[in-house]
Amino acid sequence: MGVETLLLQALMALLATVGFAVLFNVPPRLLAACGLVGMGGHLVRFSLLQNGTAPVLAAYLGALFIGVMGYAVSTRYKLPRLVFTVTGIITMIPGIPAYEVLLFFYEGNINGGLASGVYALLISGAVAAGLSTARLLIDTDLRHMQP
Amino acid sequence: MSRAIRRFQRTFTQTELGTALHAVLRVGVLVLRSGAASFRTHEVMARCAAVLGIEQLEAYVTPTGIIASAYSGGEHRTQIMQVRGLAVDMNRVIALELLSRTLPLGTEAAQLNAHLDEIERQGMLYPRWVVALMVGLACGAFSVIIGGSWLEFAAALGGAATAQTLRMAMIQRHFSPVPLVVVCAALAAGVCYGLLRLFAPLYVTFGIQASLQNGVIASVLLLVPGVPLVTSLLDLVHLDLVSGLSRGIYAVLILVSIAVGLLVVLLLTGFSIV
Repeated sequence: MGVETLLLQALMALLATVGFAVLFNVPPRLLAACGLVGMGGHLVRFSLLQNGTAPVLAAYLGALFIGVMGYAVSTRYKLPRLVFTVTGIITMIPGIPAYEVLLFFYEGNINGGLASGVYALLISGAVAAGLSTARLLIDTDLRHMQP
Repeated sequence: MSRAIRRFQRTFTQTELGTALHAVLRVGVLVLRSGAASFRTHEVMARCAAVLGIEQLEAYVTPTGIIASAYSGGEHRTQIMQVRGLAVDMNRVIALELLSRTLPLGTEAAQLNAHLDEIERQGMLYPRWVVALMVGLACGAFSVIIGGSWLEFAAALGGAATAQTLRMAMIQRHFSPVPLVVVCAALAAGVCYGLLRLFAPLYVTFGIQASLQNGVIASVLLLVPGVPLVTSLLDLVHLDLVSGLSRGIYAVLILVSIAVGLLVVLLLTGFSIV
């Protein structure tokens, strides 16, 4: 894996995250922080994938990274964490395999559709698990049920 | 950020309790509509209720409506408020979260309502063309991430920016999400496909192996319901089962609509994506 590939991926992840942050109406002063969180998460996932890590584990660790980073940044700005985690996680959402399911089915490729759907489910599950693990690690209030 | 709830004691008449609860429900609806998960909505509501002097607040938050009961002294009131139209707006979430933390103890319901009116008046922070351009760039970036070249980047940018312009116009006219997404997906894919066809002579000039797939697939990513999908799963982890399931169904419905919009273009142009 060359340095150029990594730089290109980093730049593109930054652009994608900031683009969606603008769509989500994130205030301008927070755009850079959102972009960096998203870029970091994508780089973690991308480099793991390149080194042959299973996609689900890579997505889990990427999301965990975003959850922890989001916590650090949100403490720094004293703002709700979801601003940084929800925008940062955007590059990990398996949108493409999810809507490809129907396209596969339309072409009569039942196996392809099922595989694509299961893959999308597994990745979203891994992303949610990563974010939740970060919450549980950091936020001691959430380890127990509220009375 | 501390989660400690600041409390205030006050005796309500039944009517006053109703007015206070109504203001708290308004807070909840605004937070929920801006894309927050159910537990966060509940947290913000509880903080506002405590500041107003409501002794105990029970809230049942679902993506399409909030049911809440307020108890104070011997009195209690229950109200329901419908939630329609999800519009992710982080600026609003931040404003409401800060409001719930900084309201002085003993605030009157009328004061809270005035604050909410002010927050509701704040529109989008960015001009429309900036949003369209940034969304276009984001989808272009995705096409590169999945292995496209700069030609696909440009085509996905064009498709996504056009679709986002249409989407904002349709949202302003209060279109329902499903037809809106079908039409926007078809437009994004159609424009992107057309652009890639236009670029065809450039493949040879620059010696680039561009595929139609990467561009067209990335051009509809702006419609993927990322926020509902993530909050749905977070709700489920928090055991807000009803909320998580209904949000998940919403996300699946939107994903299917994207695929339907794409199918229209695939049928008309006759090329295959998968």
